[in-house]
Amino acid sequence: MAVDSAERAKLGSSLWTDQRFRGLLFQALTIGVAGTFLAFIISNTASNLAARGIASGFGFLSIQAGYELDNTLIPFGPTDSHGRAFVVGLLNTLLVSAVGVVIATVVGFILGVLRLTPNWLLSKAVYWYVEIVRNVPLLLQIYFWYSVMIALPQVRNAVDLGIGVFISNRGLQAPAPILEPGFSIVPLALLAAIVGAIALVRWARKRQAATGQVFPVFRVNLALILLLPVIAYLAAGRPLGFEIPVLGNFGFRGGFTVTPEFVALLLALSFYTAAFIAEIVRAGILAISHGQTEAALALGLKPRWTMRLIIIPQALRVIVPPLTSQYLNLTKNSSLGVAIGYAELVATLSGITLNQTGQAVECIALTMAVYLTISLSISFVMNLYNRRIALVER
Amino acid sequence: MSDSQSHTTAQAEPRMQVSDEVAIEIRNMHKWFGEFHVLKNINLKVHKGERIVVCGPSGSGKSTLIRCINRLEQHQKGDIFVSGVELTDDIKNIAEIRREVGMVFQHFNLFPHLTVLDNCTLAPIWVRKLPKREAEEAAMKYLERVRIPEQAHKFPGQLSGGQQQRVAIARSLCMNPEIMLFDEPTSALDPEMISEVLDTMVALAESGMTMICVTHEMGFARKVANRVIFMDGGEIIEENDPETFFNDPQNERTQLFLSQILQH
Amino acid sequence: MVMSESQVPQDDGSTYAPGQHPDLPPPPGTVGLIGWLRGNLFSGPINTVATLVTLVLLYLVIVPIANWAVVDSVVTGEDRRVCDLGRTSALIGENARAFDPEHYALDPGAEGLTARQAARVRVEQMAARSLFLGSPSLLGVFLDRYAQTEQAGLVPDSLLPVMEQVRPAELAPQLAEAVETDNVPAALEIYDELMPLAAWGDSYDGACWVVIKQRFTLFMVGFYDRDQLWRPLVAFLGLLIAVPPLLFAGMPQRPRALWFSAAYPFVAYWLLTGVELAHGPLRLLLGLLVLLAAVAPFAWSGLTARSRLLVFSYLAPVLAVALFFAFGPEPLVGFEQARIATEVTPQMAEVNSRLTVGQNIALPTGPVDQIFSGRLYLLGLALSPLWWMIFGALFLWGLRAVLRQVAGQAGEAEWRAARPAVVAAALLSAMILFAGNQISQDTLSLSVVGTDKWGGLLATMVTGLVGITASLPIGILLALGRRSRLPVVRALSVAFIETVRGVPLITILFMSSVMLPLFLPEGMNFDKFLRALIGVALFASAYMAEVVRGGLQAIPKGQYEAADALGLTYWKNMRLVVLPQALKIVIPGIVNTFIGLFKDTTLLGIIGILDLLQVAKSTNSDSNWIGFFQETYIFVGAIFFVFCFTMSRYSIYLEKKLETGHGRR
Repeated sequence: MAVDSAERAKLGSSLWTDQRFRGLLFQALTIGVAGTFLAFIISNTASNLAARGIASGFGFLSIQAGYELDNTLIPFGPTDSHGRAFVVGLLNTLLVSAVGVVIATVVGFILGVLRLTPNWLLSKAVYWYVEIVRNVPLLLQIYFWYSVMIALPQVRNAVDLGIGVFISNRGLQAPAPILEPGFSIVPLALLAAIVGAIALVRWARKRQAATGQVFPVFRVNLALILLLPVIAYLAAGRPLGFEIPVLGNFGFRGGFTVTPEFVALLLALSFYTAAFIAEIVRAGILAISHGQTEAALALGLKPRWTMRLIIIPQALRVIVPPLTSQYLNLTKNSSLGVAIGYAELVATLSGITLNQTGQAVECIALTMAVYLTISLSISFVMNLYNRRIALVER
Repeated sequence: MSDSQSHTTAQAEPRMQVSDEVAIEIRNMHKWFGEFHVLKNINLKVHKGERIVVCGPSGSGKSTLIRCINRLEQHQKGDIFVSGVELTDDIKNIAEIRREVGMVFQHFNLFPHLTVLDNCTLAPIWVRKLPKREAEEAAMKYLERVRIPEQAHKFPGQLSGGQQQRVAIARSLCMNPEIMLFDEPTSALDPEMISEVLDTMVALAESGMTMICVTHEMGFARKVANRVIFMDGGEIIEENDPETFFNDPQNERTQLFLSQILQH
Repeated sequence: MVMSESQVPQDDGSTYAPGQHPDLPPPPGTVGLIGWLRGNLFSGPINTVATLVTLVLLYLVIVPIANWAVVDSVVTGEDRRVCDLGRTSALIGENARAFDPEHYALDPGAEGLTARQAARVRVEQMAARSLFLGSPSLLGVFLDRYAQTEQAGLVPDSLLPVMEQVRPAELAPQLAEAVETDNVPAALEIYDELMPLAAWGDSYDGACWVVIKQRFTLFMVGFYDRDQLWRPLVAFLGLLIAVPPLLFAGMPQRPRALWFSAAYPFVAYWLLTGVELAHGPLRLLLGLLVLLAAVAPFAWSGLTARSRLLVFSYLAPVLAVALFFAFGPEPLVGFEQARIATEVTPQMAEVNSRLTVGQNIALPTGPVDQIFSGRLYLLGLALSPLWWMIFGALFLWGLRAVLRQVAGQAGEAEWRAARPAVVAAALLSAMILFAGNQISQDTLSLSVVGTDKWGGLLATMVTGLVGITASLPIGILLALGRRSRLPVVRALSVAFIETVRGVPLITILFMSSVMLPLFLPEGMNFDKFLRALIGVALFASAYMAEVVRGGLQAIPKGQYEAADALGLTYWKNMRLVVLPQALKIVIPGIVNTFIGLFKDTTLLGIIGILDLLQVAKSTNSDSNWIGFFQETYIFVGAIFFVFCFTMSRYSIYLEKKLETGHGRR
């Protein structure tokens, strides 16, 4: 059919074909559908909660919780509130995440570098280790480590490591440090050493700029930071005592305890994440083209300096963003501690508190909000960092 | 071995000063990549101030040859002497030689995370242990020589290919090398940028630098080289002064290669 | 000079013409096995040390594992008796070797000991004492277990001569007496006599694979009806046929095989649930076909016999309603009815042969549930006059346009204007069909196996595959939404993606298991398994969206512009130009998301679904099988490793393939 000009005009005037109208309509529809859905959910939830006699709101946080928790950083007893249980959980999440991040980073970097050694056997061994750890679910690894911890000898047959440290199926029992007066000099010395180290770095940089002399900053600084606190400690007459745990009839008295739940979760999280970090490190170093190394070598730079001045600064740009997302993953994965009864955020707030109070919406929303806050703030910092280090291109 | 070679050198009309001092000597050198015999019985003597152009079809071993000279590749048989120092596994010798030999790569290999100036001062500061001020002054001098002092504080990513290659030349010169190796310095460049790099190289040649240059720029070879070496299948097939090489090639393979490359 | 006539000298004095040098073999020791060893393992002192240290470490790790898992492992028997026998004998030996008479003789109360020394002495003395005092009962346990095993006829042949030689039954009273009288030397003698037994035990002290053997079915399918096991098996075999055509582009007969892949989900659904296709998926499919047939003439203006199809389009709603009543209203798949118990009367039993008189059965309740269940469907429709009004108006408006079109009176423009109404009507009609989609207990050929019985590898794989299949399209939509130029759509997508990615999966699963029931109208609930599936799929789709977005960003702007310049609409541009390229780039990322998803299915256990890992965990806390956690966890870990490692190799294979395909751009 021939389309005459009138038809054509009509075609153009149809509201349906107007791009702006379509955009608005589509958005209005989206809002409508989403809003209706939300209203549907909210009204249902409200009526369901009413039917079960649950009042909404965060008042439950101040109610007495009435349960006990192991593994607490701050004292927690049955008379404390749900709010305090929430704080206990949050602190535990942060604790296991922080320690896990440190271990995972160290182990991951070592594994990643070993993967790149020219030694075929070593590199293959590390490859298979990394592949096995990466491809087995984390929860399974947590269960496994936990079973290993539980299968350790009972408390009365605890393995004595000889330095006042005992290992049993109730965890690790270690001497608790007792700070005597005058101990404050040790942290002060450490602080002084760090300040000195920074000053030394600046001085060395200036001296190199002025005279060209290279000063072995790293070794000297390492010695400084390690030795100064020790010297201060000795000079102050060893103001540190230890409370050695003693095996009594009902377990250990004294010392401080690292629970098997914590150890199992920490080991599983650290090694699992380390395997991913190893791959990231390896990929990051491999991403730097061989030409960079060759150019540095052709200029006469020693391999050590090539690594420090050319490869590492460039590799870090590639490594840091995925590394951060691994840290975030580790933090989120620490929620799996709930499966073995480690009192972290999900276990306290979305677990016991939720079951006791029935405040499902509030508990889960609060839990999610905490993780979201952590995630979004780290992403924000990351974006700033990425913008700063981005290579300048045309 | 050097019957033929000294003959050649004597015949060439020295447009620039060539001293009798030997800069590089390669004797009966062989190299294999796995089972593949990539360099076969290479003999080459380069005098101080000589400018040598190496050409040949791709895969003929030209790049490998000059990469052996500063030990980016390891030869397996024969001897290489650079400025009288023998290339062995000794890291001291290698460091010594790399300090004396500058190299310019096909893909520039500038360090993208450092400014142009930092690229140039890195090695003088860390290898020659120069004070920063001195290193920077020297770097600016060489950047002026390659005619891009105004780019000193930009990053390599902000420069054009030709500019980057000139920075790479300046970066090598900052180490005050006695010998410069060029590994196809213009093959990765757009046509309009080739001449700016070649001009820089001509100027460098005129200053008396010992140069070995792997390139297909025959105009450049005619203009500055006092010897042209043709390689094929891992061997030096022919070496001659540019006049003879281009106008009266002796070996069949050289003739074929020249006819292919000079067709356009 | 004339080079071609000259000869080139070699270091051995011979000469050759330039260009004629032969290819020589490399110097010895640089290639072949020795060259490889030199280059890769012993290239320098550090490298050599690294090689040796690695070898020692590997020896220290692999040999004990191999001994445990293979050499000393137990695979015979139906229960743990043989394993226990081996372990007990090994323990007798271990304890005997660990017993230190000197420690036993220590006195923690002795004079001249510091408090710390005394504590240590006490610990050592206690350990030795418990070993000594415990030895008779340990031997007693062994004899008990031996008697049991003998009764069951399971005693391994290798044990018989040892029993002949050692005669532990005679040693037991002697040992008990020695311990009672504190006669350490006599006890030590008996310990020595027991050593052959301990040596036998050491060779039976490895993994007890019997636990896997005995619980294999549980590991595979959970509590799936034992007489119906062929169904998951067939479904799994079907999967092996359905998946390869999707993965390998170069497969022969791929187009035909893809048809099977497309049909597979329906077949598998029917097989696994037992819900008949005619009532479940088939009805969905039928609805989809009606919808497609109704919409097609509007989407493709070049269709042959378009006007006749248009008539069908307008009859489709009528057809849909007719079909709906023909099949009868039944409850929607996936919804559990809220139940009000009622006793089956004789009349009811007469109607439904599956019911027996006096049996308690459930009836649906609540208006919404009744609407979904279909029992009060007409009432449900009548309750929403607005729906009827919209439907009617659209129908009439469209009908007019269609009639005019058929009569040749309507112009193209009028026709286009009516198009949305027609599509909307078709959509609504399809909804009727979908709403009537159902489970019927009456007409089944396969018995229904509820998802509460699913478990083990079956549950893991179903979750993984459904999650994978669902997350890809949702992820694509979210990624497109995030790059949309409509602010509302973009904001909603970003909010969803970032929220889900910012929280742990476990909170999402808690939400789906605890909060979802709150979100639904009273009396209506999802199947627990389905709830978890929804959680997993939503979680994975947020990650998928980010992967797809990466691909979309990698497509050069020119591609969008070229497609716009060709006059393609947004959706056509996405479908035909952008998405095919973007998805191809990110396939490795998609596979990696799948791997993550597959591993994450283990979290279902935390909300009470018996997945593969939970079977292992429940086995370990089963009093019959306590103490074999290594075996079960290693078995489950190995299964996951095989799946995930295969997928990751596949992703690397694709990456390499893509590199060669696009490497020169």
